[in-house]
Parts: sequence; C-alpha cells; structure tokens
Amino acid sequence: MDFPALFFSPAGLQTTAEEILQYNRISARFGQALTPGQAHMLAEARQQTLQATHRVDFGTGLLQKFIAAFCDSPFIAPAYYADTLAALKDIFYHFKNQTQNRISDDELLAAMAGAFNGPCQGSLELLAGRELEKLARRLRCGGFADEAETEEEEERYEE
Amino acid sequence: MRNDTLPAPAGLPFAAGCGAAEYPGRLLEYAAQQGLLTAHDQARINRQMFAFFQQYLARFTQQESSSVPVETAQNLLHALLYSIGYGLKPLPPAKAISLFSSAPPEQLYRQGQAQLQAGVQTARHLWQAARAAKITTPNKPYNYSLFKGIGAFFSGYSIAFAPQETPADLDYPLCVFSNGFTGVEYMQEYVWALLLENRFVCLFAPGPVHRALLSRQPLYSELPINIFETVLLCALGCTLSGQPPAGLLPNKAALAALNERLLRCGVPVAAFLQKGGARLCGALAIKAPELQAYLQKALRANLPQLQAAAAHRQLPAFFVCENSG
Repeated sequence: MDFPALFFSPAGLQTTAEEILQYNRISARFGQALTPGQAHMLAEARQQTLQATHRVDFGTGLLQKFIAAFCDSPFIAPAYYADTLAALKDIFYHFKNQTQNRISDDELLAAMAGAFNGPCQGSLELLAGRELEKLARRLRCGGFADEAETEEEEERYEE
Repeated sequence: MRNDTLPAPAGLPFAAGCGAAEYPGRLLEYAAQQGLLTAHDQARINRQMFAFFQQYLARFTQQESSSVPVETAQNLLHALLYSIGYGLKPLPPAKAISLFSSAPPEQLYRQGQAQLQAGVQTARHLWQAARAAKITTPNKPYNYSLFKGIGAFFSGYSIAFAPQETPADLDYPLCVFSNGFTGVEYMQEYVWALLLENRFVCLFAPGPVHRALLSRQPLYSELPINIFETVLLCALGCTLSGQPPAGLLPNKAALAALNERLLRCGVPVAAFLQKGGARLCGALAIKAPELQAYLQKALRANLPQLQAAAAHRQLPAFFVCENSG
C-alpha cells in the first residue's frame, strides 16, 4: 500500500487551494494576492514537498499560516509572492525533519518569519543555510547549548 | 439469522494467530465475504477511520504539528488499529462486525484502550505469579528476563501511542513459543508460558535440575537455554524407563532397552510420547489442565527429534542421561 497516498487526493488539493484563496482577503491589505492557478500550484507543490521529505500532513491550514506569517514581509515583491511562499514551505518541511520534530509548527514559522524579515533580509539562502541550521543544531543538541555560545563557536569555526 | 451461524472467533480462519493490529482488517474482509457489509459500508467505515486517524495524529503531536514523518504515521496507524483490534477480539464476530460498522471510531478506540489497560494488568499479575514461582537457577538469561527483561515492558509500554510495541528485553527462550503477536498480547503469552514452565520445574528440587542441565550443557548458566524442556525430557525419560521422575537422570541402559522395544513393536512414536506425558502428569500429580496441555504441546514440539532419535537408537541421548552431556 502506498501509505502517503492515503493523505493525498485531488479533492483535497482543490479544498486546500480554495482555502488558500480565502486568505487573499488578509494578504491584500499588504498588496499580496494569489491567483486561483497560483493557489493550486501551492497546494500541489506542498504535496510534492511532503513526498520528497517523507512526511504526511494530516491537518489543514498550514499554508494559511504561512500566508499570515509572510504576507506582510517587506522583502517579498508581489511578483515573487507565490514562488517565495512555495520556497518557504519547502524550507519549513525540510527543517521539520532537521529539527527531528522537536519544534512546533507555530514556533518554526515564527522563527522563520523572524529570521527572514530580520538578519536574513529576505534571503532564502541565509534563512535555510544559516539561521535555521543554527536552530536545528541547537534543537538536536537538546536545546542545551546556549545561543550566544553557539554563535561564538560558529564564528571561531568560520575563522 | 445469518449472524447466529458465525463460528466462534477461535474457529474463524482469519482469527487464528491474528494479531490485534491485523484483526480489524481481517474482520472487515470476512464481513464482506459473508455479505454482512456492503462496499458502501466498507467505504464509510474507511472514511470514518481515516478521519479519526487524522485526529489521532493531531493528538500525538499535541496539536503542535500538522505533519509527521511517514514512518511515524505508519506506526501510529498500526497503534490505532492495534487498540481497536484488541477491543474487538474478545467479542463474538457477529457483535464485533456490528460494533465496528456502527460505533464511531473514537468509541472503538476508547474501548480498546480500556481493554489494553486490563490486558496490561493481567500480564502484570501473571508476571507476579511467575516471579513467585521462580526457579532457583544460576542461569543468567532466565534470571535477567524474569526480572529486568519483563520489568522493562511494564515501565516502557505505551498504551496510547505504541501498544503494538514490545519494549521488553527477553533473552530467555521458552520451550514452545512462537505466537507472532506483539505488544501486550505477546507479553501475556510469554509470561503465561513462563509461569507454566516455572510451576513445572518447581516440582523438582534445585539439585537434580542443576545436574540435569549440566549434563546437557556444562555452560548452561551463561547460555539462553530453556530449563523447562531439559527438565521435562529428563523427567519423561525417567518415567518411561521405570524410574521415579524426581531424580531427573534416566537410566541409560533402560532407555536403550526401551528404544529396542519401540523399534521391535512398531508403536507410533506420537502415541508413545502422548502416553508418556500422561504418565508423567500422573507420577507428578499434575492436575491443572493448562499445565497438562502445555506439557503435551511441548512434547509434540519434540516429536520429530524423538522419532529421529528412536529410529537411530539414540533415545538415551535424546532424554539426556547422566553421561550423555
């Protein structure tokens, strides 16, 4: 039996896309909106990411949370809004695995939004390659390593 | 009515050796074959089960994550089915099918969880009884498994999210045990068989038991060797060779003579073994039917070796005589 397939259905895809579109009402305030085609692409891309990261998503609303967390970002141009959301979603599921599921969805989203709009200045590469790596490392170590200490260690390592 | 004609669970072809996690699926399959559920019913049950599974996953993540790794989801599906199956297994099949098709999955799950709680208590009581009937032996795998190995199960068992797992460290092999079960089903069977074996071995003084085991394997105290089987065969050998079983070291010459008689008369070895078992129960005043049944089961498991030994005039070696180790 293809177990993950249980969680993926064309009807589910359509429902997710419709739910995503409802969030245009909120994101429009910040000049961001998704077309039905983009919403469908995001829903489909989410399924592909889940398959690639060997995860199953049993809830609804994560993409909506993404929209709520990132629609007001000053670093996302409307033309790249859908693609950036898709990339952020990939990063999210990747780091759910990297953190060994030790962090909740809301915490990871908050950390991602904080880093993306803060030290990363909208760079997806810095977000995935530096900030979230640090977070994942800290969590994998049981969260005992002090953040400041870790940063110092990294600086020493980089030197 | 059709439902009344359903055989008892043990008699159902799908129920034999079926673990709790597989039971709901087999039950549905059986119900469909018997025409008790339509395809529409099955689709509805599957939908309801899947919806409840999603709630169960959310409960597992404490609503903090909307996704889990595929492997985790598979284990949790197994856990959910185990709970539901464990609750349905004791019911007559007609009632189980009716309940499965009509009750909400949440109710089935809760019933299963309550049954699991009771099942763990039963296993714990059996473990206490097995410890109370402990064999005095230097055999390390036995002593470790009886105390720490089984104890690990009761401290590590998760009824809510991993009832299908068996977090026990059981080095000690039982004489006849291959039930293919997992979780508390496995543990109940294991401690029950261990209790029966302990009760049997405790009918003998530690000295003769030690000597019999040494005859079989001089390093037995370090090795995962079943104590019961050696004691049973030694006691049976004594009985068959006309000696009191308490000494546990049958006479080699008497067994060799018995071997010749067997070959000459052409007595079926299976019948010979069964009668020997019954004589042994009589000699040891074993009245408990479950212990008698276990002894016969253990002897049946040894039948092929006994047949081969008799055919090759090796009965004395088979029964572990004083100088055969």
